Amino acid sequence: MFLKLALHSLLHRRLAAMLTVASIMISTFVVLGVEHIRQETRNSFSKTVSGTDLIVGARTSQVNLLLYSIFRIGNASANISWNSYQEIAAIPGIAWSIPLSLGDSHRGFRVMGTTADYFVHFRYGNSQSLALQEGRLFSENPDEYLAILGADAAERLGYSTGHTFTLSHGLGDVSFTQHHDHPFTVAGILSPTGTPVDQTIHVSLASLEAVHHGGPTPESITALLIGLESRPDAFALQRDINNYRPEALLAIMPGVALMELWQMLSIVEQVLALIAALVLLAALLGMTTMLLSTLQQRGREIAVLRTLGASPLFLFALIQTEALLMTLAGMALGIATLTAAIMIGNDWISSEYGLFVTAHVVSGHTLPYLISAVLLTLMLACIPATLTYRSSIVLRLQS
Amino acid sequence: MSAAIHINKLIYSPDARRQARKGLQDSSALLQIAEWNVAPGERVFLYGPSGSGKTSLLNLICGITTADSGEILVNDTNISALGARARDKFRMQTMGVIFQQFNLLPYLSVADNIRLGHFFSSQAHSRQVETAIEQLTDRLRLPRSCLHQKAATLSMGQQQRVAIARVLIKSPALIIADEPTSALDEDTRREFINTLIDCADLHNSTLLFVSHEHSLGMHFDRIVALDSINHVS
Repeated sequence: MFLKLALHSLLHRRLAAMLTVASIMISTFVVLGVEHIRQETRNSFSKTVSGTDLIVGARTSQVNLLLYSIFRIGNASANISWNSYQEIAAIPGIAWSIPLSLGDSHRGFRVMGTTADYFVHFRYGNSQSLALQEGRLFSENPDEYLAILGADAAERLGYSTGHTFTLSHGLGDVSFTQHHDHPFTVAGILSPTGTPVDQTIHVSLASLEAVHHGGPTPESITALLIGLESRPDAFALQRDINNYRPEALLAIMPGVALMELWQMLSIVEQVLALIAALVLLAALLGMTTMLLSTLQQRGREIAVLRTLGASPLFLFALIQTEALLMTLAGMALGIATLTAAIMIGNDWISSEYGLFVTAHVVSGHTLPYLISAVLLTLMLACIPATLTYRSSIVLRLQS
Repeated sequence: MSAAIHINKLIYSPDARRQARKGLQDSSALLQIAEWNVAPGERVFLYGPSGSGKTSLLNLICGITTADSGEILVNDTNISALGARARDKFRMQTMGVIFQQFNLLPYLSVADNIRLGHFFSSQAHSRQVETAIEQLTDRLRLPRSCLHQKAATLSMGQQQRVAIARVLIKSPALIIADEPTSALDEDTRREFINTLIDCADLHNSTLLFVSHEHSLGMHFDRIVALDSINHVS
């Protein structure tokens, strides 16, 4: 009967209640959306590269080098000459080095020239290796124009092994320079990784160079990944590369660059979190205002309940329950809308930003926000609930 | 049980507390009753002009407000000596109140409005309550089909009967009716009073009916003019 009373009372004022629920829904959408995407971005970024000790590129900022070489966001300002690459790769203590060449694309998916070592040494997540779900790896033969597709690229392009396609010069969805004379054949498709690898079309550096310059040996590369025999040597090698005389280069440690990125973003994150919290607070204050304004209309109803025997505590709990029902309904709708929005927009987010956002918006990170919203509701609803608790039934029944 | 209602040396001034908070003395008492009794099972008609203090007296008997001094005993319980919560509980267990405007909750069904009268007062099994609701609606000549209708959709006459049913569902020892017929036409008024008296008899309830219309008194055991017991100077 208690819940029925609370529910029917809200339905009786359905327009005001629905508008309140809608405002809570929107604020929940914003709060959870900001927090969820923030966390997912961090997770996505932090699991993208693992086991790489140094990334080397032309001199730029740490963050820029990290973004274009690993996350395929943005572009390199300059390249590294092939000679420099060979000299660096020959430094004692380097266990492996992987050259990366970026700049071409196919229907919006980035093409990356590399060597077969990439599939041997590159790690992501918790030191997981790349694995083929279909086909085989390419060889270093420049006459073999073979490509290995990331799982997402293969799925969305609808390509399977044996399919042929041509590369476009540049990174846009539409390019006026097509390498029609050198079609590539899909040799293999990688298993999903949940990283930008899934969005990448991998070709051999030699074949990519053959497409551009006709020869197997590249003149330059975009970046190189380095794995060391001894990780503590990374600092010394980083210093050496940063002081490399023949060319202005930058060596970064992925973890340190990632930290710098988070530091740069933290102020934005804090402002976003503050705005989201204020939006939620405004919605809950709106609900309190709605409850307070309807109390005047509900004077007789409250008085009737008191006369029938409802204790002040019962009425206090009734108002709190009504507030809680509106908040829970708003939160449930906000969660459902956000989940649907992520499911619909996931492809676009991953292709545009290389981010893989799951639709599980209720997690250990977002739960505190939901619990806070419920507690704040109960606190704010104390105002109308206490006024109800103290309301006089004498005058109201006579009016 | 000596009396259903026993009032002794009652003084009530609605503004007394407000004046006291301001440090002033209030001499304008609305009610000053030396002694007044209602016997168990008695049907009493209390009348007086508007503003004479009828509703205030009912509020005092119900324990909705408290007197400045004196005592009010309902079924031998000194309601003036009870705390606010105890008064609420006592009212819920002992009394049923019918208001001038019936005060049904418009968004609840007729059955839920009647059930509400019982909800706060008893631990009776829900099946017994459902049976009692059906019996009451039959007795009050309310069609069973209206039990699931919203109270706001009923006619005035049907709403009155639902208001009676809501009071009778808990079989109160004391039924208090505050000007319940003021908005009704002559025929409906007579029918309402007859139904109310029949139901009070059936439940052995004491009935205190308050109105400003003296002509209604003929239906009751005793007619009391408020002026005759209220000795405000």
